[in-house]
Amino acid sequence: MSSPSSSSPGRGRDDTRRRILEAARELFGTEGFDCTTVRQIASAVGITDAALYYHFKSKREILTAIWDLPLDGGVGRRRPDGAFSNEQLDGLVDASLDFTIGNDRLLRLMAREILAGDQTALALRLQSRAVMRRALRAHLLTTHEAEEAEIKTEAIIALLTGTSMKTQLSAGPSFPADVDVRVYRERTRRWVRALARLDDHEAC
Amino acid sequence: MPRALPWTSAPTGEGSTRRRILDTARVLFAEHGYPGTSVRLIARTLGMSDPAVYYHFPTKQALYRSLLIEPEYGELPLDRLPLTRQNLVEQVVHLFGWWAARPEFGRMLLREQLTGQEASMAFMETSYEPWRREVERPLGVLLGIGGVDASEMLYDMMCGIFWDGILSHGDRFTEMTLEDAFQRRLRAMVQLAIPGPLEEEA
Repeated sequence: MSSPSSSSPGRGRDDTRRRILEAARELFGTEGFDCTTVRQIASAVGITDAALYYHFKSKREILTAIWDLPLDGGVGRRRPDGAFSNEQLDGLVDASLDFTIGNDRLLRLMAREILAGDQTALALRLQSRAVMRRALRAHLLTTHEAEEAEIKTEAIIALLTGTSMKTQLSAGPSFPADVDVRVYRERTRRWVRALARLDDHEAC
Repeated sequence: MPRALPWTSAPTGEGSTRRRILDTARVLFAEHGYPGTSVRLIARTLGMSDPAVYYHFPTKQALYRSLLIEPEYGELPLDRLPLTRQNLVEQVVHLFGWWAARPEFGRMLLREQLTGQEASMAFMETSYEPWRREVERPLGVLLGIGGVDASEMLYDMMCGIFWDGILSHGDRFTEMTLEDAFQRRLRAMVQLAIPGPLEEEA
């Protein structure tokens, strides 16, 4: 169960737990939550079912633990610094894109679980959107009136949601391998800049 | 029992059984996903026998595919109004309204698109066709060469509003879209996405 080379039993336990979560995330993302068995997860990790049950009482409990992984792509740590510029805007877009590109399977799983009525997954989605919304609004408020900042925040979030979901869905399981990430990134930056119209705003 | 769906009229005779099967199946596919919805479950929900369902649809897949119809948007603002930026905003809002009234349809599609199911993936293309006709073309007339790019951006933004709505609010999303505040914000967002001055045209 715990690897013999680990210096303390506690670390071995944490390591097994982490490996279970990684294997489960992979399997839930490809096979779906319902179609994945505890046995499959255990064998992917190379442990017995019984050993897995030592860490998690149920498949549902594994899923709940997966949702505890951080989910905002670091956007929440970004604070406004002077007047909002296109370069700062690109930075926010990149953080959001990197996150969706790096967590495709988890995000698909989350959306599917929400559609199947999972309240934990929904709460997590709402929370990660609130972080993104706050960050964008705070940046826009450095140069915009409240109402305009509100509209632009909503428009940019909708665009990021739509364009990343559509790109991921269209590419299917081969995302992001079969997507030209550079083109995708350039296009998204350009579109978000067009929505934010920061240059327009300075001119007025 | 699934509730009556607001956008379906109730035709009489032969057509109505078919229609009832489709309406019920849509709700169940949205609720349980394609793999989780059997023809038996659809039949039982309707109080029918399995063969009675099979009489109308030979397979579950045929039934699912019958639900994937190209949206019928009815009479559109630009059918009767001149092409201006403001009227195009109304056109986009009208198309969005069709989807906003059908969260179940959206959930049914999205569930299978997330797993890469072939029929629902192919429908992504089908559902872009009316958009190309009703929004992309007028945008091209207004903007010239930038029309296609603006259309794709606007489409993605509208998808984002819809997906976010059905994920975050489920079927309550329809009601929310009818509120004045939502309608105002929606128009402001669409206007923002169509290049041109932010102020209303005189």
